[in-house]
Amino acid sequence: MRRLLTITLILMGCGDTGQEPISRPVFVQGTAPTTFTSGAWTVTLTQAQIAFGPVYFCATTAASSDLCPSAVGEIANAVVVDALDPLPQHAGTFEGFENTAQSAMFDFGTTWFSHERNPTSHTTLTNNAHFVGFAEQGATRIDFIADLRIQPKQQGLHVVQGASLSTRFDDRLRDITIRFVPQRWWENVDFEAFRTSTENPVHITHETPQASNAVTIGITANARPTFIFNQGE
Amino acid sequence: MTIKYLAITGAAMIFLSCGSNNIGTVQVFVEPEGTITHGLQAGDGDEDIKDGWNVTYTKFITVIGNFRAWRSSQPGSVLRDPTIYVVDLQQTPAGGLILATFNDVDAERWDKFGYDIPNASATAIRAQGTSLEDFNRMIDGGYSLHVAGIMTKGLETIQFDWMLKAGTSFDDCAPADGDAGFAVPSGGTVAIKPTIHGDHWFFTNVTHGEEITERRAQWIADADLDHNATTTLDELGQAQASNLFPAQFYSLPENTLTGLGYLNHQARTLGDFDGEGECPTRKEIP
Repeated sequence: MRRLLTITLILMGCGDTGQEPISRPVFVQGTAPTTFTSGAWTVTLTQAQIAFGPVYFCATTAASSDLCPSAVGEIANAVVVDALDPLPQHAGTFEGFENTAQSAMFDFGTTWFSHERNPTSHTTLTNNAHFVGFAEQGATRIDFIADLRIQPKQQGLHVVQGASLSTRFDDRLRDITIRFVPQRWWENVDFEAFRTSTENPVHITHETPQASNAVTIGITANARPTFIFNQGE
Repeated sequence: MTIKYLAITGAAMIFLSCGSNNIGTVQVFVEPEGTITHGLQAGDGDEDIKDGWNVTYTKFITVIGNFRAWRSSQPGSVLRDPTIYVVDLQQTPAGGLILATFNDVDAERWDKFGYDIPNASATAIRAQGTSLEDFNRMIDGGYSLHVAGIMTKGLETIQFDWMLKAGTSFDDCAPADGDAGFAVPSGGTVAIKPTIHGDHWFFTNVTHGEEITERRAQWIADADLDHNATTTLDELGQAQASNLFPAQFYSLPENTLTGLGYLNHQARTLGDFDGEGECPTRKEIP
């Protein structure tokens, strides 16, 4: 909210810009549980919770903390998303101005703004993502629990900066839906590494680097949440 | 004479005084960042490599040109020199290499400046200091960048020699401090410096604007899959991102499946402006 207040003040300082304020509901939507493959393993997720937000939309193609004074809107709050629930879940409000957005930057429930001394969590999730599931290959079954920390790496950064998008915020916008496909986050995990593990279930944390890296890269780079800007009545 | 008439006359005089009588010259230099000529050192400083590697470049050749500038207030009036050069950035003169000069330019702020680092074609020109052999290699392969070097960490050594096709346009260039573009002084010359950076593949994220990042090189050593002390592009293409980039350090760009993917992303960010200034609008070009 502090950032949007700043934007508002800048716009007010420039007089009447003709930019109308826009406020619209935001929904998050997961993907129903399905079996998928990761290497030679068949994987099923039974729980997939992820913290998400805040989000800042920028007029420029290159979003960053210093370039986004030209931000045109925000979803200021953070929520915990049930990423296996295919039904839209209300997740807050988009507040912005009539304008075109070309990129977004966002976090997964933990921010590290310039005014925050340390990374700050804004949800009840202990870490930023929590998964439960199992992987099968023939008669072999590996149960796993994953708790992953997904936080800005440095003060002033967001986890995702410069995410490409193109949309116009105006009175035709009805709502924003953010889609999550957790199965894709697990596609590159090497379950073979856990075949001989004596732990049951296997705990996937930053101490199991390949698996935690693969899922984190899936979430933050290769299968990011997607923004759907719904129009109409 | 009404106040309105005075205002219009005054405006016309200001307009005239900013017109053809007030002109200057723009010189475009290309300048290598110090990392290209002096390498990077291991250490805890902001610009140092955090994970203990030292880097020395033995070759750093880029393709650059198509310099352009315009004013937001007069978008139809464009300065443009479409010439493309192949430049050995380790052989440029101290102070930079002049690649374009625009004379009789309106002495105003030109707030839009951009240039390309394209994939080389037969129309490119060999810049001063660039060997014929290197020039031909870039043209024949259609490359935008040839970078080779040595990384050392204690007794460990890793060599690399990469030729990339990472053609990119860079626009909306702005100095680190101050307004975008450049101002032309009346009767004088402004020197503007597209600056090629040599450390972005060591960044732990793709920066936009201010370079808030760390520098790490271990991922290149980890991608030496056959352990022969040389990391090739083939190896980078085989090395999974999850095995190279620890999540506690890296924020990867979209669609980064391998080390080569990350290298290509970062190779499209090397074009900067006036030292540490940025050209934040980047687009892939064929």
